Amino acid sequence: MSSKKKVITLRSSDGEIFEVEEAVALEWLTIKPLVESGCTDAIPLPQVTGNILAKVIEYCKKHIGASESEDRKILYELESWDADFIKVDQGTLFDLIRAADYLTIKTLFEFTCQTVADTIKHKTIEEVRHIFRESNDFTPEEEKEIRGKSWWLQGL
Amino acid sequence: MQSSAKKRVRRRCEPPPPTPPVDPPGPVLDPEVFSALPRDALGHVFSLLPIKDSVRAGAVCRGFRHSWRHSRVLDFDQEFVVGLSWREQVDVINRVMTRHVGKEVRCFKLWKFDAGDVEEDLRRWIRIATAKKVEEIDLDFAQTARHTKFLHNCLDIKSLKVLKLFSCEVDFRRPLRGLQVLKTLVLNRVLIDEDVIDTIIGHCSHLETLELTFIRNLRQFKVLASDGSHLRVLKLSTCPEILRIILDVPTLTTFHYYGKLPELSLRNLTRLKDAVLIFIPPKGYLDHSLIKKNILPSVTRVEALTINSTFLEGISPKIEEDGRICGQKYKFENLVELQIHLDQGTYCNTHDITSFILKCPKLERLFIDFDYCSFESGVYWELHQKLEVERSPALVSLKMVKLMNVRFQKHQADLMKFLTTKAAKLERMAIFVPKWDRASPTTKEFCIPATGSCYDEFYKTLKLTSAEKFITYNQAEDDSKLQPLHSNWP
Repeated sequence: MSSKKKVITLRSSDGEIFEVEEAVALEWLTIKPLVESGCTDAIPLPQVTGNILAKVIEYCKKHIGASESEDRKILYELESWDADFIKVDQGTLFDLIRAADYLTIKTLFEFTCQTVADTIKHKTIEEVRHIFRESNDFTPEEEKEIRGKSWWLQGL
Repeated sequence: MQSSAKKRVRRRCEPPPPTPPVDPPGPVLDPEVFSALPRDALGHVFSLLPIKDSVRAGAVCRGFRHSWRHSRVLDFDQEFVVGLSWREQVDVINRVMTRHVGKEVRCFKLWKFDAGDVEEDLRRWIRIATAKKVEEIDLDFAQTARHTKFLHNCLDIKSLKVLKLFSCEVDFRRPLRGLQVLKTLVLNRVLIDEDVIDTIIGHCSHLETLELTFIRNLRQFKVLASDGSHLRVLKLSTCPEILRIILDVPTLTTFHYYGKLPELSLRNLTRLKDAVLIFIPPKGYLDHSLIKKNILPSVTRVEALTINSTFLEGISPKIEEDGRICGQKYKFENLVELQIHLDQGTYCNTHDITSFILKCPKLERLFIDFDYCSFESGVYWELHQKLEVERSPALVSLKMVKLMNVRFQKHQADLMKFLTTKAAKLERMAIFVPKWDRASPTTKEFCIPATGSCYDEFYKTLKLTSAEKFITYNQAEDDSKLQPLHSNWP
């Protein structure tokens, strides 16, 4: 075996070429079989743009091996790195969720979804409606019912 | 006319109206892009909401109505109980547990729950959570009048990583079948057999954090690496019957102890970084030599340390039988943060404190709480120790000092003088005066008001040149943001 680590080539939807270590690519369950089969061509990822793919690779590189670390200091640093990493605009956050979902990267998917969940946790019903672009399709009677205490007691 | 013009101008100069409350930190969501989230990802986001938020989100539209059934965070916490009677709480939890369809549950939590008459329901809820591979169980029965007895043989769960129990009685079917992956165990006011704890420690090889508070039956506590333990964090607090603690765990990084001084045998704690050693002084005689012999050698490598005066007394220089004064040869090479709590009636003095500080070359942050302690410096101090303190070497690393319950007594002034003259790099010294003072009426003149110039004279007598470093606070209004690492011991 050569000392040089095996590198996998990826092509984003806008034609950008990325190289990642095999160990990183093996965490992406969607392309794992391709990697394992020894594919040497650039793997096309038509649903992920170059700038998002760069973020995804950045996250996975940082996390590979580190999540299992036993050193508290490393874990603490990783946490604050994550907090900085996720300080992105809403479009990027959403793109990251889609990319993580598409590539089946469990850690990134969990992390990004949790970020959204934490954000909507303290929102009012109207705000959540606004965020999800959902309109209120309850009748006024239903609406009254689901907002009251009785929703908890009988509605569930 | 002129005046109205003036008014208008002034109004224009007024600051803009206060902005509405800021959202909790996190990215702001734009509906335009968010609406395109795939349904399964959306479902996943919902499953991560705590049950109360999840049910509330069901009121958004019909499509979301039953999303709570997939919630993985079954957290019936203090927010959940608001506005619900006990009977209603039981009804709601029952309904949630029965109709929940998600395959996985991350946590199941009850907050100050009165489990008096619903033992069967509680067991059923735990069974349901167990079937859904629950990872964390946190049950607080603070409102139950008598000890809850129904936790026998139902917590032996295979998937459990975190178990926290408050105020109940528990037993495990032995041999244990579950708990192989348990990482954190927190027991507070739990009636448990002493040997159950031994069994758990022996059985749960992944156990990293163990916190035991007010465990009545605990007389001896033993953790040995040779038994396969990888414990990293151990906190023992106010266990009234405890007599002996034996620790031989090289993996241990944190050891907090609060309570009466037991027979402590600490071995191979080579990675210990963080220690709290608060020994409540007993009413009668205390054999301080235990501290010097058994404890001191094991804690000298820590980076953060909290002690009280009992520990200081234990390591202070003693007059030996042959008349020589025997100082302790030790050094805290790595210590960066030190917190000292001085108990009322202690016999250690300023010299004990300064000589300890001088043995910590890397010390940057120092917290001292004088509480109601007051010590006479005595003749020995005046004749001998005072001079020794004055001649002592500089404190090369000290940057921050916070002194609590300062009443500007002689010994406190001595200590402040020592710190200010010896610590060349000192950036900040925060001095806190008590809000009120029952111990010493003479200090009243100093206690009101907390800020202002009434201390200037005092600082002048100390010949403190750079007064801007010293800020005096009233303890009731601590906005200094100087909090020690160990701030929540009982």
